[in-house]
Amino acid sequence: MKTIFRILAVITAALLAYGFVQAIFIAPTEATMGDVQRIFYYHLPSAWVAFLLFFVNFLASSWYLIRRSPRADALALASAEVGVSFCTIVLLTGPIWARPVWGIWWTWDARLTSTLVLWLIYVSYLMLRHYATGGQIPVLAATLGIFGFVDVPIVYMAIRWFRTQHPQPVIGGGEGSGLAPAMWVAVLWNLLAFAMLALLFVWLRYLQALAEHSLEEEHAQASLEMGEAR
Amino acid sequence: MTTEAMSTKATRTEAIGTAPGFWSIARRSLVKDLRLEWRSKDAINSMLFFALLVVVIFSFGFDPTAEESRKIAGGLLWVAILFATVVALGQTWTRELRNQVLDAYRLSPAPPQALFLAKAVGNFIFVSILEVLMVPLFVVFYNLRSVGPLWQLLVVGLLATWALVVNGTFFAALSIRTRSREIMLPLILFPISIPALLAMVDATTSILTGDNSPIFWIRLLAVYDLVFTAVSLILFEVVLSAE
Amino acid sequence: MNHADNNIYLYSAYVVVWAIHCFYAFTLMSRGKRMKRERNELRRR
Repeated sequence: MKTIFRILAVITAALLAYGFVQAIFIAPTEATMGDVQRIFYYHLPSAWVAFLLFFVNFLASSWYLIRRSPRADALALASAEVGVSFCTIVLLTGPIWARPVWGIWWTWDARLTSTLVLWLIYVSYLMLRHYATGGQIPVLAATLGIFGFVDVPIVYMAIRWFRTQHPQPVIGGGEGSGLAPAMWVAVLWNLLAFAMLALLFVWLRYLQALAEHSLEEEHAQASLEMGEAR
Repeated sequence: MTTEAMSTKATRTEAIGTAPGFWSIARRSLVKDLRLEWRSKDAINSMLFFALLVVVIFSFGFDPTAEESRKIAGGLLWVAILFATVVALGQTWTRELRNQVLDAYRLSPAPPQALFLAKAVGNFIFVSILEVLMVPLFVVFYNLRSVGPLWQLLVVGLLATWALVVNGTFFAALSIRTRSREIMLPLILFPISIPALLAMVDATTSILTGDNSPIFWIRLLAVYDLVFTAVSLILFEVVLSAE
Repeated sequence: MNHADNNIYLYSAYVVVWAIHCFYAFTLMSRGKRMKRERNELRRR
């Protein structure tokens, strides 16, 4: 396992480096926006990876409710945390891109707003996990995870309609709006690189979550033994 | 048939025949809740006063002309109702906890869905009472007059209130098992309610100003209500049996 | 719009991206160390 991890880590590092080269040097400069547009090559893949991770959280939460397996819960926690991390990146790079190009930090642009709501939902998920007491954290969190993900399509529909009623500049570039093929190449390489990075992070966090679980049990066992020894 | 089999069959038929059905359990639970609320009257009085305060304070914050008020009243009204709802919802479960009602629920053979429905409908009635107070106050303070038909506002009101209450009731049950439970409920309720909030505010504004059609928003609210009522009913048992 | 001036935004964005990933990696590492320490303490008793 450790060797596989090391190999994947090396591959990921290489992919990240190559993605960087693609984004900064190889991809053509955008005509109207200039080099600032290159933020897009990190902004968009991060959004897709975050979304994928939240879907994984949904699957893990459902699996936990069906099987009550600690591994499912560990995966749910890991995917939510890494998902929030990538989601934060989307929310920060979006405005940094918008400011020089459109002169504004925020416009309730459809993708950014949906990402914000997603971020809020999963941060609230993490807070519930942090503040819940006792052994029922996994169950409660799993239900919230399901609620959250079920909400996602509704969020998208609502925000899209809101945008058509109150149109404003689109920050992320509309769906597949005029991207040159060479740009798509850069997007896809970075997508692959970030997906691998997310995989590594989730894997590590998953193992840590399982270890925390067994550590708690060791603690409990130790206190039991101390009680008996008296 | 042996006597033993006959008596088992008899007891089972008796059990099934006299066992209360889903809807009667729900109804009875609801009636019991309402009666408790009515007798205590604490919750109602303090909540009504709180709702009144919220409306007044919002009105101090914004002093619009008639035209402007139509544009913003929708948003202000629903935010005010949202806050009042959260405070109200927080109360209902804490009282249950105090009286160890939750344990009774868990031990009873009644289907959890019936209990959830009873709770949710009870909360719905409670919040509706608050709205009946708050809406006329808003109309008065903002000199509101609607361009669109009132029945549409009523539909939006019903769908929107259920949207807040159904998830609110479920999440209130979740949050009582946390530290800082008062803050936990709004913390997990608000993000998930955002699309519903967007819909209720925009629908109300559309009807009040007559600028746009509220149909899409009303449909979205209906979808939201259906989806989350189903999910809540399905998952409530899980939450109830969690210690 | 001066394209060259905007490069500061490009750099900031990339710094933000890597800062967040490094931060997350850091939390993983410190949690790992803490848990290892706890386990060693438990085992020692």
